[in-house]
Amino acid sequence: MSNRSTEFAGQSFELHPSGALFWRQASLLVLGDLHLEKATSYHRSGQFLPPYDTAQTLARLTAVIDEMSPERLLFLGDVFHDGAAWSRMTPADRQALSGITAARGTIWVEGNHDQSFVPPGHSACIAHEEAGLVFRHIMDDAETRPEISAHYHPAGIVSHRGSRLRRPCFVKAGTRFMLPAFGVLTGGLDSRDPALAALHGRDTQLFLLGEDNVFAPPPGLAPDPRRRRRSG
Amino acid sequence: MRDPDRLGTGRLDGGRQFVPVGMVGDHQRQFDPALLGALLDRHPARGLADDRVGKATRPAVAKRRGRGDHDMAAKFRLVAVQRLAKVAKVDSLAGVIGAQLFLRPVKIDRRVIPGLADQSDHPLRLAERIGADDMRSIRLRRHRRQQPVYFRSRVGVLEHRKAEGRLGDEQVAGNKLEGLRGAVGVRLVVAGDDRHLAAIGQPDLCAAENMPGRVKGDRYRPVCQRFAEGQRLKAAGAVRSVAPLHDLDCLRRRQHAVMAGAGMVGMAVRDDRAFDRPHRVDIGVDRFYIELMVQPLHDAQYRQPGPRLQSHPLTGWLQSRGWHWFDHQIEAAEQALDGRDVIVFAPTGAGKTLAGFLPSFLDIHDRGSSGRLHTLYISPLKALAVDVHRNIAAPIEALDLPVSFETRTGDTPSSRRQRQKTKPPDFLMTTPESLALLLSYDDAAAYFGDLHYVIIDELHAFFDNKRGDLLSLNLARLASIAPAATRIGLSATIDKPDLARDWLCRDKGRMVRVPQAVAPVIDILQTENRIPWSGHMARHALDEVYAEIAKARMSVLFVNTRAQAEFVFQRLWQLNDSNLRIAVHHGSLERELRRKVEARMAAGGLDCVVATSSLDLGLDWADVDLVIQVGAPKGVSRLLQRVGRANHRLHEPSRAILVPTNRFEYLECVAAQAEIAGNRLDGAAFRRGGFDVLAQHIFGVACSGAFDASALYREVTGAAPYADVTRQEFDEVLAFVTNGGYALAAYPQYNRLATLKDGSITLRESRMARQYRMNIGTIVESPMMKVKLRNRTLGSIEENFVVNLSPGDTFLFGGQVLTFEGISNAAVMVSRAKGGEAQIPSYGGGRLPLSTNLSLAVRQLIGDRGAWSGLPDQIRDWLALHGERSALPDAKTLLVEIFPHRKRYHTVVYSFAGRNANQTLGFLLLRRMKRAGLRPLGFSMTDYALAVWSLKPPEEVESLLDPDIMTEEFEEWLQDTPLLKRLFRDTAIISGLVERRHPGQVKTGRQVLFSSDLIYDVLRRHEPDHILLKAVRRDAMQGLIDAGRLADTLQEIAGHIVCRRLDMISPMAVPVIMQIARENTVHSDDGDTLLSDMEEDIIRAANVESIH
Repeated sequence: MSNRSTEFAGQSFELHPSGALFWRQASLLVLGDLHLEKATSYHRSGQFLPPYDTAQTLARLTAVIDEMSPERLLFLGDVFHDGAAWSRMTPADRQALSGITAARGTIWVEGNHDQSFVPPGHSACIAHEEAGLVFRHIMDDAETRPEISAHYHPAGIVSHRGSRLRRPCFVKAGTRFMLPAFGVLTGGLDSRDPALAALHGRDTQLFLLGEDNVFAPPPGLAPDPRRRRRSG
Repeated sequence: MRDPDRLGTGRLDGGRQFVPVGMVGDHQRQFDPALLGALLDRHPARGLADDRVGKATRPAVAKRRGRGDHDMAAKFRLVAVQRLAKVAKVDSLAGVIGAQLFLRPVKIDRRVIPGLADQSDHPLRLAERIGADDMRSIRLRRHRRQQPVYFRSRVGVLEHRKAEGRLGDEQVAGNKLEGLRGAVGVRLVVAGDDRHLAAIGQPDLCAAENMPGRVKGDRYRPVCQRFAEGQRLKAAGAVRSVAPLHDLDCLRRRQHAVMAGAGMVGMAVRDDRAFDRPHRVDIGVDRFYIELMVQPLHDAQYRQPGPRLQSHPLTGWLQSRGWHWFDHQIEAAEQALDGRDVIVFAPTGAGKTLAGFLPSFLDIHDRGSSGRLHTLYISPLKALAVDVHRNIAAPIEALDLPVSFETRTGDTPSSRRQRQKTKPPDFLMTTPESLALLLSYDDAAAYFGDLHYVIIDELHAFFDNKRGDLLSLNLARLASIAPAATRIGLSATIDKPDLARDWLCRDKGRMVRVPQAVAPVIDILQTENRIPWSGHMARHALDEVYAEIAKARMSVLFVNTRAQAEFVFQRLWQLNDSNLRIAVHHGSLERELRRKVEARMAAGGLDCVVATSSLDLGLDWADVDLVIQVGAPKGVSRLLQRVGRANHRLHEPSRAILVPTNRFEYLECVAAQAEIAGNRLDGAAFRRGGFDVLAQHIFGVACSGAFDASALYREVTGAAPYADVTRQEFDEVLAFVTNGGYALAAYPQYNRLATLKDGSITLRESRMARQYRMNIGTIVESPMMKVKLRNRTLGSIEENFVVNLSPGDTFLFGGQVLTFEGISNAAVMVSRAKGGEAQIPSYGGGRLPLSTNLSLAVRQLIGDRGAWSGLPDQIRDWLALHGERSALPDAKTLLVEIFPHRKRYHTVVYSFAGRNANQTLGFLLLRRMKRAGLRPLGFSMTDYALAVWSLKPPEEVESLLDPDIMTEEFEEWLQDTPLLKRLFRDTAIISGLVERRHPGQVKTGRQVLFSSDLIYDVLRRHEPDHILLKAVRRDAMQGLIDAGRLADTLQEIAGHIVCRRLDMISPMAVPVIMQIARENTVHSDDGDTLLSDMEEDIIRAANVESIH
């Protein structure tokens, strides 16, 4: 497994193939949307998705932590798929998450899915600031400081030798940095989607997640020419 | 039906008064002499004073383009006209007299009103819909423009032309020919059709919208050509006649010949010259269309029906039409009436449908209608259900039988569905999905409780797919509800009858077979051009194909893929100098467009239809006389099914031309010919039912009420595809339906099913039934996007094709070149392009693997030099060349070639195992070669061969292809192949794990695809033995992976491998190597390889830049 480093806002960050971002200097591991208990949230409507996503996501998290040994964690929101997710988690999963968060300083940023829920004993903030960087769940158009966000689950599409591949990705564009979703059962949004217009530019750099590596296609990202913006 | 006497048939007497002729389709009466008088009347041009011929113009239909001397049909007619000139004058008369001699009732159509020559003069409307009174009123309204219509003989067309003094004999003959195509003229049409049901069904076949007057640019169309064989005519030979040809130009001039259809003889023509001077009508009868056709009778076809049948009004009805019960109809009815399940195997045109319904008719006649559902008819196609509805409507209405019958499909309006629930008809025509729906209601037991017969049409279409699984389960359900209901299967192909019996019949089923009276005539297109070594588009042969189309009356051109359909259709139109009416029909086109094409086929308004398997199934209405199969047939039964589309008459051979697109396919076509001649059919193999369908079914059963698990298990194993399901597997599926069936504790409050105190199982909340009903069905479309031209939807194309398009790109769709504009509201927006080179969308699926029988036959052909004599020189040379350069694969040995090509080593395995098995072998070889350090890079495959390319050449081929690859590499590969992931999407949807539709929301294709991939990964990791994963493997083994066939092949060839190391590519390897260039797929299992390759490219590019 090999990480890729990139400079953002004068800081060096390591990009992990799992989708986690490690800020070594601050020993801070930043994580995008986990969406724990997403599968079971569908059980209510009679779609019995396999209820193993939480365990798998947490296992993935544990593996990254073991590899990076961060002193602190930062969740960029939507750790839980809904406000009741915590109550649906198995005791083992709950314990695993508590163990992870208790062992190190954990910063919880609020998301939109989690309905501001944080496990007992923790508290969430709307945004977190550190060393001139802002961490929040949803990218703020008015933000002028360097900002690290998640929420959109960006996915990059590359074509090479006639084949086409779609993978979750990090997006770096100017003063904005976006993380892919970290949960195992999370879909993705085409990074060329008009909703991500703020990230489209000639210098935009995507980092696609591979199995063991992070890949960087040539820089530059234009909005999807095929997709028309709906009028009004 | 209306009393024929009310039809306003007549002629004009000398005082230009309209007098009824009378003689209308009533065989009690004698032929009215007045009719003969009318027919023998002189040509109008020489007759009445005010009918003077106007200034002669070029014949309206005279443009002779395209059909050159090679057109045998034209020559034939020309010769014939000359030869028969002497008798020409009496031809019409002869026909009529002929009819009379045979006591054939003759029906005269009525007049056509000038200016109204459009929908209303459709003969069938004239004959059946519009009474004389209506006609009169029309006449009054349009009084000023009316010209009465004369019955005219064909007299004097030639003379008439000659009288113009400017045409030589040859031209006259030529004009005459064109006249045949375009003339408005008297036509004598002997009524009827040899097919009972076709005749019955005809009234709606030629729907009004198909009148050529509605179609711009339509010319020279034989609007309706129908053969006719009446009963008594048949008894002593038959009169065959064809309705007139039609010309739009004439129509525009308000000159219009009525089309003929079943049940009429004679027809009207009018002459517009009186008020439309610059034009002239050519009146002519093509004597060709009236000819006596003597056919030996198959005496064995007729036997005396038993007293019960004899006394049924239907018998009288048939006899009144001059028809008999066929042997097989009587036999099938007797079996079914005795309560035995029965399968009728009969070629199309043999009255299968009536055979199916006969027991019901008899039973309900004896018993009387109970007001509950009596007979259920199930067909794989909605259109077929509708068709059959029309067919049985005719006798019921004609005899005023006290039988109610209705159709129920997905298209049935909800008001009618509601009514069908509360007041069920006696006969219900439906589809498997609608049946599943009906069975899911809580009153299903009462609704189907009094069911007596279940008729399953096109039975063979259900053996090897999940729709068949679903139907089979529902039949088992019906058997529990109404054990006495007898099953009647109808099938046109007779392959694997035992399979059919096991599938359908309980206990001892009976089979009634009607052999095809005449073997089909199947030719291979002989081309002057070079047949390519590879490729699938038949570019080389399309000129000749076009010529064949031009010769035929109506042809269906079958292709194997939608992409081929688009290409061939486009090319044919480029060649279409004769303005033939060619249409395209494939599954991606919007339903409305397809229906239109079908309707025009039915009306005879097309010369050729380019079709995929979307037209495979038995719509019997169109009068197709030639089937052209472009591309290899892939299977003998499938080919026969397609060939059967041509000619639905029992005693005439179907005619087909095979057009191989490359040299391998030529061999395949030859082999298929031989297999058909030897009557060696291949067919669907036995299929083990899908667990996903079972899950859907159990949910459906729960929707209809509480059930006992053990009883349901017994019921399920009564369905043939599920006979091998163990109780444990059943319980796992049941657990899945209940709450997902995961080892991890679930949340009982969300369970779908609940167990009652008495141990029976029921739906936890009744509202969940809605969820089930919204997701019924086993057909999962790959993610498709609608194609929209402005506001019109043209059809759908695969999303995977769309993602590679950029605005401005052009592609072929539905025969049009379209420019991609963008995506808006999840639809592909397009505009019309001017033309030029366009991409052809690729469609997944649609490609069937080569059948085992056919594959063996091809290998035998290659191996047997003696059999080559029948092959064209170029094919023989190709084989010989390959034999020289390499070796010939044959039935006993397996040829492997290894040669360098473009800096890589290619290992080509001529397995002839079909593309699915070859694909699996490709994946396995990749693994094995990787392990051996040969650095394989990818593979490509065809039905015949597999090519793996690597950086190092394999040293020892035997060990590569050792059958142990099926255990060592196979298990490993199966664990993480993306193929299963692809299949899992269908399984997830059919089983209800992921819903297609949820009340209040619609998922787009991609969401389902994406999340099902992730679900698959999670499931595989945490519960690899979950029932859904078992379901996927069970499906894959018999289809996509084709493991059984691959294992058989490897076993067979072990020890018989012939390995040739060559310096360069061999002739037979070309197709499979070409495939590499064509299919841009990465065959290594992970995308990471692609990504690192991409990065390497970037780095390389960067280095190059830094050097410069």
